[in-house]
Amino acid sequence: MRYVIIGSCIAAMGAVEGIRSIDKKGLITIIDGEQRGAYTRPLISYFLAKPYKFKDIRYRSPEFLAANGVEVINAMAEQINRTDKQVVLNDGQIIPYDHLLIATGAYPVMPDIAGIEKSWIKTFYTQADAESLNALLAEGQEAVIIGSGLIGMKAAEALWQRGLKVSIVEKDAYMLPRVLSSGSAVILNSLINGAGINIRCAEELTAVLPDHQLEFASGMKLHADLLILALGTRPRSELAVACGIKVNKGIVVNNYLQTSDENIFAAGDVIETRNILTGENEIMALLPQAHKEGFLAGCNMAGHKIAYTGGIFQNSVNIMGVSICSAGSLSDAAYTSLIWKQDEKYLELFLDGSYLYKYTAINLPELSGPLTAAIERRIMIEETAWRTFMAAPSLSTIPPAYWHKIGDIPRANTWNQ
Amino acid sequence: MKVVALPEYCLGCGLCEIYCAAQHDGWNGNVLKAFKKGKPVNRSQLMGSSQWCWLNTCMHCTDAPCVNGCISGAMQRDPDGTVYVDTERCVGCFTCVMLCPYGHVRPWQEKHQVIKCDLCRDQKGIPACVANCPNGALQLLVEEVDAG
Repeated sequence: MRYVIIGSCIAAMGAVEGIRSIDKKGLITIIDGEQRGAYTRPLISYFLAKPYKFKDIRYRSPEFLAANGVEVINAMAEQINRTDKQVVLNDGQIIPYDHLLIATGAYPVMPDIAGIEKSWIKTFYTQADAESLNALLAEGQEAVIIGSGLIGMKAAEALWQRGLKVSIVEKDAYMLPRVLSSGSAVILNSLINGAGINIRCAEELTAVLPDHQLEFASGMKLHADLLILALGTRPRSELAVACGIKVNKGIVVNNYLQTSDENIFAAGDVIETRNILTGENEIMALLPQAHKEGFLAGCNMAGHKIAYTGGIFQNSVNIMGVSICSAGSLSDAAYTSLIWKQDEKYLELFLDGSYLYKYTAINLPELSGPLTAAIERRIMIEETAWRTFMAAPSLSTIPPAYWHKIGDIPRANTWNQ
Repeated sequence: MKVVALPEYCLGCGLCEIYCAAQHDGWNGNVLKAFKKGKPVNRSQLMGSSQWCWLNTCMHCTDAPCVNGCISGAMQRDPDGTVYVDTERCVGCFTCVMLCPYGHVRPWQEKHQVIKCDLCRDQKGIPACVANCPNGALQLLVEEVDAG
């Protein structure tokens, strides 16, 4: 069996692990278009904050690849020829495959604004982006970040740590709109503002004027020595589109991570993932999910049939010393919201009947594991039990029903409720 | 391999936490020295209420969400199956904390990293918590390990 993987990041590494858990001998070739090896994207903000400390942001070592007998080709895949089962590279090489994995990831979204192509305007997505920013920045400069998602927030923190004056501009009504609720956003906003980063919401960038001036829809003008565009990502799916496999927002896969061509699999930020909570296919672009999808795709490429049921949104991030953990998502249904607050800690649960659909925890990371599992595993827990927990949330007050239902834990069978 | 807590025998005395702390970070199990000279930190935490208590141990899951979800590659599994944190690589993002269904992996705030049971892998013999539990409430469960 000859396996070819286009892409060399998280999903690709998961796939190597998945394939090798079943097939120790088959040839694995990785086509690394970025030519940086398997590095971990979230760590580029750590590199930008402390370049001397985070020079090495590898996700898996070259030894890992060698031990798994993986051949890496540093070239860009240009075309997938499905009839002959070949990948054509930009250096003219032709790589045959039996099973192919598309793990090409995503691009940062670029806004459609005149004058955006300037040397001081950057996206923040690749190791190369972080290196060029590192070369460009100087202490005391004014930096503006467009977008208050996780990438924007981590970029802001890194620049602040390097001594820049940082503002974040968000077009929605509150920051981190996909993670926070309006209530939790107020808390976080004041914590981040207090720590020294200026946040402006409900402002949309409309033009880049001469002399480093930015203009916003409201008429607000800001000066920026550096402008970072952190508007999210979109799947890097051209190869898939060009070879005619099914693509919606991202590459469409079945439960076995197979595309509409049975010999081609796809995983990671380039695919649409089924949201367990809503049943809808969405672009999730989350690191743990990318690894899981890659692993399962690898197992299935090697001949197993392991179904992927989908995932939930989940994020943990620390910004300016504030921990934010959140998982789950809400549809249009009416949810019961339970809130607990104390000093700089905040916990909000969203329930629909006896099911938890989403939580947001600020400065309470230690509670997030069981809450995430309660959502992901659809564990039924009475609303009254959640209310008791929310009177004084701690690991010891997690509803006993949770520990019983988590099941595979021996002690759960031994005590009475 | 994992340590299993038996709540029906647990007295909640906390010796497991004390010996766990003294076994790590170079204290070599010397409880007196560790607590006189430093602030040793336990890996596993005692949990409970007035009705029950138990040591929240690591299950060292075969398909471990903390290992699979780690953003830096710091959370690893050694050939014996023990899940441990490579402190050289942990950046303290707490993704593993968010993914641990047992609430076992927890933040180590002073170090901006995470902390968890490593089955005392730096020493020979059974883990310190099991060795020092006075009432047999902790057992070392040895299973066949899927090293793959």
